[in-house]
Amino acid sequence: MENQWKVGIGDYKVTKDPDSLITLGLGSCVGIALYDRTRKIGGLSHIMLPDSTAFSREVKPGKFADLAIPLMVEELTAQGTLKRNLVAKIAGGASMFNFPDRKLSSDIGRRNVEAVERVLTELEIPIIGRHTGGSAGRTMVVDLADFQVDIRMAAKNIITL
Amino acid sequence: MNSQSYTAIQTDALKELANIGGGNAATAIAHLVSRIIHMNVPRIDILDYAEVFSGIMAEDEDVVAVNLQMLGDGQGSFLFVTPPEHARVLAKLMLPKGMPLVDELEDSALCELVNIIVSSYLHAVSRLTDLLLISSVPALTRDMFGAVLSSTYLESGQYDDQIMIIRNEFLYEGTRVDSALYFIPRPGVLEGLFNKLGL
Repeated sequence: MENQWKVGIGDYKVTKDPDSLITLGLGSCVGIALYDRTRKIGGLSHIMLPDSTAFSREVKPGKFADLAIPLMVEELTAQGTLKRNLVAKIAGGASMFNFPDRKLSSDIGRRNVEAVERVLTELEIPIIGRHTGGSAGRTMVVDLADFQVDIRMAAKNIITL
Repeated sequence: MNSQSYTAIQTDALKELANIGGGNAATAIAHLVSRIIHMNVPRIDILDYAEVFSGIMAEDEDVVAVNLQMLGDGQGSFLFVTPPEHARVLAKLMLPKGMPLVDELEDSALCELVNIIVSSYLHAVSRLTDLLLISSVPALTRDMFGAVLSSTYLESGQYDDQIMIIRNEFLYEGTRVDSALYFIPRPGVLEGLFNKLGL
């Protein structure tokens, strides 16, 4: 592993083997890793919200599932990747606090996961690994040599997608 | 929240409310555990997430977090955050000396502590503003600071890149124990409060 690039909340990055990508502390946010196995190039995005259309003010595209994923695909294709070669692995979308009263939660984690699935389906990018939902935060590490994705959770073992 | 649009007077009023609420909470806990509890002057900052994680705590730092929802005339979230080793010290404060501390007991003692902190905070603010503010039951999690904090802001409908940090820090006599209480209002709640105060 050469360089490990950190992707901040509401941001995304594209790079290639031998680099790796990491994003920390996904709660209700969702991490989306995209990969082209033939060229060993990929990206990682840390979205916070499902949909940008309700926001009229100038928005940061990396925050939204509907903007960040297409932009990441655009950057990958600009570097020579064919869209049909791309595959995805996703993680996150937790509900961090379990209130006995469901009305106290707006379930943003679940809505984020649904939006990510919808955008990937529209772009015809298959999801080949996933670890979503539940009530625990996740850190996601993407190795661009072989698209191994490790999910670290607080006080739990690493899960490999 | 269009947090940049608050005037200096409004920010000062907010700081004063956090000061009075936090002070009342510290007094309530001090009475309960018969120890001296200090509180630093509350901090109000407008930061982006990167600044929060570089300036306050890293996003992958393990914390114990207790969340209570504010209900009534204004909605929002209270988030109490402390490192795991300090959570243990705080839980012990709440229990009789010599009582063995099992995990479940630690969590429920901590929830009760935060419950008292938040209800006395809100009691003071309610009295001052003539608003009815109450809190929900607490929910506790042990997880990464980043996951807990960002999720609480997003669940409260705070979608901006820049977030307003309203933070009380409590210090306990003897051993220095780090703990912070964040207040995250739902959009529009602060505007309503300022209206009520004529600011």
